[in-house]
Amino acid sequence: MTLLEVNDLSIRYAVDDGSAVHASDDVNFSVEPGETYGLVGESGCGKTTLAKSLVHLLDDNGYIEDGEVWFETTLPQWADENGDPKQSVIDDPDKPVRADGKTDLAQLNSKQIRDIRWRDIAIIPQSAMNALNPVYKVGDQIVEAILRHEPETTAEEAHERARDLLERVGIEPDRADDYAHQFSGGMKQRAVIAMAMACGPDLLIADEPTTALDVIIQDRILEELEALQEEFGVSILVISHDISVMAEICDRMAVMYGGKVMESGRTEEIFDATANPYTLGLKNSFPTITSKDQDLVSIPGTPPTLRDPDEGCRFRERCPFAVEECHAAHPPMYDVATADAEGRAVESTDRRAHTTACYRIDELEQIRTDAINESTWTDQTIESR
Amino acid sequence: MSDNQSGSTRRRFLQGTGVAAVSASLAGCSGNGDGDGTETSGDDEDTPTPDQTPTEAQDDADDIPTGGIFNFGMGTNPNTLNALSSSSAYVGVITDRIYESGAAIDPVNFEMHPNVFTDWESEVLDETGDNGQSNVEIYFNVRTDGLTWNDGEEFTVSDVIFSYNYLLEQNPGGYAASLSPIVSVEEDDGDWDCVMTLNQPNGTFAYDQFGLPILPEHRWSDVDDYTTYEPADTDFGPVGLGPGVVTQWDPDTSVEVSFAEREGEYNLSELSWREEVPGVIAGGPFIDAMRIRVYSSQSALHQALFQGDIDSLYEGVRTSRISDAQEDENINLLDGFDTGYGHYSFNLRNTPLDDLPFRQVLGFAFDDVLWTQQLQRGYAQEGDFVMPPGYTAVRPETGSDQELLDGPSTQAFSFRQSSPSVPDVENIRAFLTEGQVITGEGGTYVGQDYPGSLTGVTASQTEPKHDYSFGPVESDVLQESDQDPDQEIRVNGETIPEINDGPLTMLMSPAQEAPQSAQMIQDWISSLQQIGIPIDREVVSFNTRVTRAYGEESYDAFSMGWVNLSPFATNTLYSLFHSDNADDHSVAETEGDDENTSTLLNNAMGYGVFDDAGADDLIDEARTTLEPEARNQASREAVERIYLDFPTMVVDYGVPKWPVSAEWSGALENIPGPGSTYLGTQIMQIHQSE
Amino acid sequence: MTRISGKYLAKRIVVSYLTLLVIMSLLFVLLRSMPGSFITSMISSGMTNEQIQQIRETWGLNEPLWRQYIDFMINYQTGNFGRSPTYNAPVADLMIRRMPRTLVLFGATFLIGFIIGPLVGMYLGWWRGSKKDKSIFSTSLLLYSMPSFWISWLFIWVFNYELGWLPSAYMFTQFPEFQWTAFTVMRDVLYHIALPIMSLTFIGWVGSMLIMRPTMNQVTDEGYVFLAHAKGLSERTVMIKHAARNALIPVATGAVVGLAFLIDGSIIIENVFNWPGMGQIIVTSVLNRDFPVAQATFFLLAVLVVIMRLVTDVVYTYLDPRIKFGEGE
Repeated sequence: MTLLEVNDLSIRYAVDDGSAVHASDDVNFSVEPGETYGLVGESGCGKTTLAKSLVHLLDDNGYIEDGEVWFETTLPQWADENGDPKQSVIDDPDKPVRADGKTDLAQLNSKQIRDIRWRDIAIIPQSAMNALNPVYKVGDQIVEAILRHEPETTAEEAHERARDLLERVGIEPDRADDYAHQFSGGMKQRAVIAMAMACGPDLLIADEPTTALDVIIQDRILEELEALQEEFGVSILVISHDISVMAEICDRMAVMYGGKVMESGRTEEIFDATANPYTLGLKNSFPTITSKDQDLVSIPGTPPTLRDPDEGCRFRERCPFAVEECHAAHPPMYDVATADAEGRAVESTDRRAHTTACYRIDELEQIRTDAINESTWTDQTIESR
Repeated sequence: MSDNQSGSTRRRFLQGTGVAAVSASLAGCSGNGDGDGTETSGDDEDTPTPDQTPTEAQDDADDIPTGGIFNFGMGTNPNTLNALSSSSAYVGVITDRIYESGAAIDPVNFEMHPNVFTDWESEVLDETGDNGQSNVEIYFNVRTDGLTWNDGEEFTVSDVIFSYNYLLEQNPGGYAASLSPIVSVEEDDGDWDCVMTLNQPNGTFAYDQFGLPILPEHRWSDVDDYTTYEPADTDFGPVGLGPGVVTQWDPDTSVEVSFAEREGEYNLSELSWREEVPGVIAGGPFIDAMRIRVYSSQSALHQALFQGDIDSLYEGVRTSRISDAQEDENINLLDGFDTGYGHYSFNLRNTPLDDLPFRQVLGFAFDDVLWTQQLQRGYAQEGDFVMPPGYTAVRPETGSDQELLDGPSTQAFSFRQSSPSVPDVENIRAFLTEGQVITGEGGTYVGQDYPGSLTGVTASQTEPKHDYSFGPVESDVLQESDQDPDQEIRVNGETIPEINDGPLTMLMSPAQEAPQSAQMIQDWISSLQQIGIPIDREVVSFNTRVTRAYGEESYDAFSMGWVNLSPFATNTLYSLFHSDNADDHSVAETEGDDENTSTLLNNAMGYGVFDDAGADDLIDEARTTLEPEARNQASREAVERIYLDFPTMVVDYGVPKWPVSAEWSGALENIPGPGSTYLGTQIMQIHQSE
Repeated sequence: MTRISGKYLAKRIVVSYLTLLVIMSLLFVLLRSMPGSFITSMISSGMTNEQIQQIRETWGLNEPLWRQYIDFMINYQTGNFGRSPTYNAPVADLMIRRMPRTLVLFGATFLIGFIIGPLVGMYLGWWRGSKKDKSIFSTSLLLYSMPSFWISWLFIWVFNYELGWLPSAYMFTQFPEFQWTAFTVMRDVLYHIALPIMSLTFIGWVGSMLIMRPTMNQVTDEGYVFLAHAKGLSERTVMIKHAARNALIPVATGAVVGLAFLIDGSIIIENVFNWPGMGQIIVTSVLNRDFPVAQATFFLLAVLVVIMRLVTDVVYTYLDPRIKFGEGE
């Protein structure tokens, strides 16, 4: 039973000249309850867009082009007394509700999605330090979220809960009456986490939860998230460019590049049996993952603009292993286990399996070896963009 | 100092004509609007018309429709109801309806008539006072029958004696000149009610001393300091013998003077002399009330007039709206004439302005047609003498066969042009270099014939004082001038900037305040520069001009105007052109500065201070002559002497156009200041049109 | 909620007071350095020197300048503004009569302008770039470039001259046919104030809108606005409670500046609408050289601005809790 099931999700940003930025293309992934799922990739790869699109928090010019976002919930007005969708709603072809009780968030209108936000899916935004409104007390901002989704709660109960939540993340309850500017950076971050848990969401999206924090606080925040997950059983969708952070906390992950998922699978699989040139490059550029004596090598070149991208593998322009085939079409997802075991490329439809989008999956061993060499990356001539 | 202070208190400075916007906003200092003085007859033969007990309402007055409210607009707010402390014309609009004086003037014949005083007689005593002048006693009777204060109290002779003594004790600035000759006012032991003692003969006492307001003793006797008294704050408002009662007072926006309140109580308008003056209607007022609305700007005031919110306004329609008013069938425009003149005046203390031919040249350069016809659109008359054309008795044309304003003897200093609007540079220069002067003798001057003076007077100066020549242009102002003169004047071999440390300067208003005036001065300066006279303009505000010219006399030339002059000239001539009213700066430098004050003396030119420019003899003669015709003749001669001596160049007389809504009739036309000086007369006879 | 310490407030009041002392001194110097003494207007041509001396005496002009200065400072601080030579009345009476009229007109204008302006600025800033924003914004810029007296004349022409709906002058009916009661006074003032307020606010709101719109737009990019959306709050709640509330802070500063401009404009507007307030008297007192009145008028307007600044400082601490005056000092 999955909590979130994203099918062929494509997101576009409209540009003034009429073209569209393909921020995410045919993305598939799913998150299980209680699982920590990571979306990793360089900035601009579409990971944040993807996450925000789940609850329609895209910028004004962003829109879902295609795809489905099935989530294990339903709208209050569609629910029976158990919180499950009524049969009549499931039967109604105009309502995006499936027999298994999931609702397609992509089809909800803006009023409907507001009921999903925070109650079912909470977001800890990238700049969580600036996410607190300077003119309101921190406690009041938590109360606001509670009262929004649980109007039957009294103000006192809500305040009590806000103080408990703050205490739960290690902030003195009395600080609820303070303003954001009276908090330190880490406290603000934890206050936002507390706020995110205010309505007991099933999924917590943490966008770059550790960026801009010093290492000690980073660790504490990560511990905090893990502890919350254990206590509340919440699923966490972590978004980060920092593959080392991902290694630490994620159960499963998807590596994204240029709006496409390049490799996905269990975290250990991805790190131990890396099966995509991009993932290999990314690993090279982060410490702690690679062996200690190896120098950090970043991938030369810059991510593509994604404006009306042409056919072909998105990564081919920076890929030292690109071959003729790569220019024709973006590769499908191949099963890695099959490739490793049998040395042949088999397309996979199992989204829980370790898969990778690379035509040269049959040459994995060679690629893994070459990728460790710095010269493999630095010597290549970058195709003109 | 008291003996030289008998000028009219009602004369005030006024920005030159053609600048209605400015003069109106400054009109607070343009006079108190209660009429000009005149002297009707010599003191000796002054047995005024025997007592005229108010008679029953006149026949013609019976036919006049009564009632209605006359809405009147003002562009400046009245600031007090204390007639003693304010000389504002706008206060006068109200207080003149409240207060009455001993004698009254009519605006048609300029004669003094009985009013609160029924008759009077004067006697020159043998004894002389400290001033060496004969004392004079004036006996008069007070009309107590049928006269009451507007608050219902009884009016008695003691009110009159109180009024004079109160004024003497308090000596309010606005009345100082009239009060200063009064030694005492007491109850008479003999046949008369009262006797007033003056320390000098004064042919105009009926105007000066009998023109003072009569105050109610029961209201003013407790007022220790007149300046702090505000009648508006009392239970009744101002109390007087007049026809009006102030029934609403919001000085910022609206004032109502009710006449209906006094119905049946006020009878001074029924005095029989009124019926004998052509155009004057006895028996008024015929309106129930006068409602005064105060507007913050001239444009708002005029807008209100054209919208019909007001029936009339103070002074007259401004030039730019005259044609609109003429086209508006709801508005009648009443013609009147100026009570003064606009002028450029020159400082006779400065070389070469101390020399007559040079001053006369300044007149040759003034383009009258440009001013009166183009810039003033015909709403100004070409200026010549220092008495406006309406004051015919003292105009030099009287007694001659020359036409008023147009006679050749009034054109001695008209614009000399070689082609239209271009000054005749060559001949004007020749006038100076050949040593010519217009002295009053007939002749041809700068290409124009002059028949000689009308009265036979000659100028004080007959020969040029300086030697004039023209040489290369050296002074900065001419070198930088757009006129590009080919030569520059030399006075006794020196350029004017060498003599005076700079060019001559003309003080004038900022162009935005008085655009036409500024344009005219620019044209005049251009003409002078073409001739080769280095002159520049200096833009200063009205008030600064007053201080610079009248207070400090530190100027070469300035432009300004006079209003509310006396129709019988003597006081005006004395105040404006007699050496008694000028600072003699040459004295100050040698004998300390007691003689020179920063007091505003009206004779800013210093005319009369110098032997070769003055009319003191003629002015003194006019002042001491008691026989009216002889006095007028002396005045006419003084006026023409001043004309020839040219200390001041009269540039124009205004042509007032006073608007009155067609709903109203009865207003007098062709009088001086129909909407200002004699507004009081108008209010007494305006009535609803039939 | 008290975020302002008594100590700080006291300090600010002292500073305001010192500011006023400086303004008073400046006024004293400025008005006395104008050419021509103010008694010029009181002296008529025929006065004797004794009389002139007496006038000088009355007005204290014979005292040495330092003495005049000290008297002036003491008098002003005790509310004694002297007597007006042209109005022949205590200046204080004049001010008491006129000040409320100006306060009513410009207080109302100020309030309305600062309600409409930020509201419109909020919508335009929120929907920046939309068609509505573009059209309203460019229209308002066009309005803003129009001189206020021109608009006033236009309104007078339309609503008074052509339609005859509203009076174009005065605060009350001058010669009323009705009895003055609390109700008729209110009705009459509203009737008369309508046109000036319409004219003034017609363009008056643009100033605060111009401050609000860009700050509003900036604020929409702030993290807390995103979070507010993410919390599921309605668009309206996010816009008003989270975005506009923060964008208002710079508008408060603009309010003081706006007030200063309003006073500036009052000179013109009071004259156009014949509103017998302070703006009118500034012009006439300067023209008439009525120094006591001019002095008091300028002074009171300065007091108004200083008080407004003080109020803004206090309001500021409530608008923005990050500003905590007086704590760190």
